[in-house]
Amino acid sequence: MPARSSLAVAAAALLSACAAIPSAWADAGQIHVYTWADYTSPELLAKFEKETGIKTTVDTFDSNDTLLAKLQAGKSGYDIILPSQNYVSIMIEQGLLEKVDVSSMPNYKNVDEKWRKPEWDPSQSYTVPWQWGTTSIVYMADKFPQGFKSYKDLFEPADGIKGKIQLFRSQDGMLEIAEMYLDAPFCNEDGATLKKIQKLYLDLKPHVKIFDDTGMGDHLGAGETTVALWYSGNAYQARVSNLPNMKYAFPKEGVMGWFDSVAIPKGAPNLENAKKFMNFVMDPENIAIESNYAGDSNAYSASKPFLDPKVAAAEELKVPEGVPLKFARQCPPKAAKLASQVWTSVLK
Amino acid sequence: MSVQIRIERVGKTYFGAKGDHVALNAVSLDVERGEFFTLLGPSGCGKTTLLRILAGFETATSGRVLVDGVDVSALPPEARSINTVFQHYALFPHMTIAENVAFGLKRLRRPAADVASRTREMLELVQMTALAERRPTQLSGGQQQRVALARALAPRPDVILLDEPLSALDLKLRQAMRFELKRLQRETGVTFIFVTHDQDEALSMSDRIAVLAHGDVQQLGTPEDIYSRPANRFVAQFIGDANLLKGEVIGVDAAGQARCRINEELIVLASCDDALVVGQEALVSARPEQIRLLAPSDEGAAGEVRNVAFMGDSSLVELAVGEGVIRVQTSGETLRELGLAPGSAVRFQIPPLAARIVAGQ
Amino acid sequence: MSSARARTNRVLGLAPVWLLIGGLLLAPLLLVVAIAFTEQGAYGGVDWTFSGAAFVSLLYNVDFDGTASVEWSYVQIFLTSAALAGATTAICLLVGFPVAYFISRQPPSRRSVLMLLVAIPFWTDLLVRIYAWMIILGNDGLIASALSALGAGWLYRNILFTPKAILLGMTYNYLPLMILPLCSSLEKLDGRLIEAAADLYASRWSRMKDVIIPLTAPGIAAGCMLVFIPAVGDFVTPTIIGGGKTLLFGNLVALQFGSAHNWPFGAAIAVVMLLLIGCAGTLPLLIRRRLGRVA
Ligand SMILES: Nc1ncnc2c1ncn2[C@@H]1O[C@H](COP(=O)(O)OP(=O)(O)OP(=O)(O)O)[C@@H](O)[C@H]1O
Ligand SMILES: [Mg+2]
Repeated sequence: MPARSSLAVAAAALLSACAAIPSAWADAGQIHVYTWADYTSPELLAKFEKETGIKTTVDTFDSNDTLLAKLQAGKSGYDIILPSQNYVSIMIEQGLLEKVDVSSMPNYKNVDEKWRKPEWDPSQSYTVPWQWGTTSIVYMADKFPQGFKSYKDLFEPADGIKGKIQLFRSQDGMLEIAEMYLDAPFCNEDGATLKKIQKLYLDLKPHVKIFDDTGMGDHLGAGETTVALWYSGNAYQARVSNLPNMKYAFPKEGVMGWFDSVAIPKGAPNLENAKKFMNFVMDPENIAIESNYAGDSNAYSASKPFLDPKVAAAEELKVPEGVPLKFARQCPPKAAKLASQVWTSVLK
Repeated sequence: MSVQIRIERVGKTYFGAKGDHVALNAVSLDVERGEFFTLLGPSGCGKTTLLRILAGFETATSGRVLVDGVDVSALPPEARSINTVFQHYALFPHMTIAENVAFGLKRLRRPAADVASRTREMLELVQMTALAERRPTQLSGGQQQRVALARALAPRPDVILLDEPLSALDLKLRQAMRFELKRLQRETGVTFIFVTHDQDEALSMSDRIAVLAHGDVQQLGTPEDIYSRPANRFVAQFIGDANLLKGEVIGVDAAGQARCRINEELIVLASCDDALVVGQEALVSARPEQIRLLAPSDEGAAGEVRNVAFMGDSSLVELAVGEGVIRVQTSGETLRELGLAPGSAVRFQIPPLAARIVAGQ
Repeated sequence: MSSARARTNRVLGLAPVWLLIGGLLLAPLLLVVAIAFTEQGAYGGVDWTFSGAAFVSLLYNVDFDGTASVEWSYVQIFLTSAALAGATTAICLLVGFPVAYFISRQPPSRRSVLMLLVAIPFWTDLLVRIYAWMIILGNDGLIASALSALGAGWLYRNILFTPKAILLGMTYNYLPLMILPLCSSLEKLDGRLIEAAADLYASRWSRMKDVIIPLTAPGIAAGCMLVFIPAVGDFVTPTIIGGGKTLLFGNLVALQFGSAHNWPFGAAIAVVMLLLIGCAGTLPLLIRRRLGRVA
């Protein structure tokens, strides 16, 4: 899942400073969870604690990069982490995760067939599906009734939305969107395509009001912007709470998906307890608690009866038939470097 | 001589949250061109206040100040041809001595050559040429004082105001600087208005003195006037030392002389200005050095020595006379001749006209 | 002998201080310098092999089609950051000086109250302060609503998400850092020197230029440094109320350590930034030394 809010960033920075040596707290009935801010349902953790007697402690991070850096730095002391799909593959490759053979856990049967053995964990030895969602364009239907059918509507903006657009500032997803529009593969290393992407964004830049990963709902609500990139779960929550006119677009070229998993870092102090948590999460009733809390989708059809009807009905969470759902991969170093070069040149 | 500065009924009240304070009542003074004029008075009497009004740092609450007949009350300091030597000199610490002296000239946009030559001239005048490139903090107090003076003199102002310029110096230097200041004033011919609470300083340097107290001018005159003919009890006590004796007027003559009886034995012939009536009470001032001590066998009033204080060139003798005490200054010689010691009986005399009546009624 | 022992004692006595300086300040700094001279790790992190590549890529760019050219964009980012920080510093000085002068001329009791008021914004988080400006400036913000309530809505110009907003936000954020050192400097300024200057025919402007400014130069220099240094590295303010459309120094570093996964490059930028600021930072020292001859 991409970054949440800057306030959360600040809070996370504080918390992680306090959590320098969490392993010191390790004892029998405990797990230490490292997760995104405002993301993990307290109700879910309470239920886990009640059922197993295992106490949970929560620390938060602001981005996958922070999480990765922490693991790379050595013994983190955490038992449970929630990385996104593209980082899972890096962590597996770099040997940062504990191999726990998820497919043999009792509750594994609840995982939907289509989400088993995903490309980022082909043997399902490391991760348990947590939540997933998409990143796409939101717009105020009252001010832009024609709506978004294609990324063309973004890259060749109509007069009504010129100067009213918010994009991300971090490069997460930005290149992928252009690649989908150009029908090019992700993680491009082709100079000509990259040049095209660069030009697309340089041409779009004068019409962009804000490059920021946060504040989408505020700016849309205040009328500063009409169009923004956002995450499906946040979009759903904002619509039901204060932006009834906001719509979530599924452009025909495809939407970008993100998929967060439960994983155990190598050398976790409470390995057995962490495994219990994994199995606990795969219970449909339990995972529904999290989906209701975060407003995201999950990989357990059996959880439907336990879902909040509003979440179950949310348009934002249903990728229409015929719209490809594409998960970003972690690009190899060369492509990643080229991507950051493109994005830096757009922002400067 | 002509009047250069006229101070007309200048009053100053400081308005404050904790109450108002009247610093000057209604001071009127004329200062003449080229004069060494001194404002003398005890601490807190309003000397600095008056000086600051002249310089333009404060505005008077009432009254006005005329320079050469022109009302300058509304002019800011930079528009007045009056320069100040501040009590703690206020030399600019980030400038050299030469730059300090040149400051006023530069602000007046004098040509560079003039600035340079006038600065040199001023530094020579105060004998500071050798230290021209130093900074103020590298100078002694006396040197800083001279630089402050040079800085004030350089732009050739009409008037220079000096606020207790010698008070920060030690005794020897202070005395030397008195002559120095006087010399500079004579050589330059500039009007000096000098503020001090030190009567010796005032008496030794001034052409005229205004004695200030309680926000009013108590007496205005030459040092001689003020010393010998104090206008009132305050001046008599403040300037030099004075015995103040209560008595009764027993005779008055046309030349402004009065006979006063202090007690049975002591009758004094004193000068006076006011019209006095026989039989009225009067306060007679007599300076200790004017009273003559005599042998017990001589003609005079009787007293008893209480105390003798040795003062180097002379001694101060305290006499018990009736209920009161009289101080007499006398030479060591007289002291020895009469063999005075505490307890011994003595006679004394106040010579005719050595005393002065400072207040009637 | 005994003086040698005294020296040893002195050095040993200061050991905790050296440890603190070394451990908390120098070590992280050296680490950053070291990282700047390594190879980029695959997904963040570094390969501990010596390389000057990060510095080379600051100056030369290999384009997507393989052509190498001199890279001006980073120079441009440096200049933009410096210009923005410089403008912020200048505005802070222009606004802060009169305020500091006013405060320093107040009676001591009121002075400390006023200084406290100046410092109060620092009690809240930087982010909160910046978001407050969004509430003030925005389309349905305080200014807009107040104007439209007065029937003068047409007067409203939205400057949110423009460079003007960045300047406003940074000026607001860093103004106290200018005012406080100016205050302490102006407080020490002897009022009689200003009177002396007026007495010697100095106009209002000349008193400022020839007396007040030279005598408070250390305070001015300190204030400028205190504003310029954080302003040049600030990336939160430009991102949030500037709309993030201009990439600054700080953003560039954050980007490299973040989603660009190029730590050596981020470190190299930080090192260059440090050197540049270090050069600028010696300025007040030079001024103080010049004035040191005075005092
Ligand atoms: N700014 C001011 N506010 C209020 N009162 C003041 C102010 N300046 C002076 N005064 C008061 O006015 C009176 C006269 O002060 P001034 O400084 O003129 O005295 P001075 O004769 O120069 O005394 P000194 O010999 O001690 O310097 C004093 O009682 C002083 O307390
Ligand atoms: Mg005084």
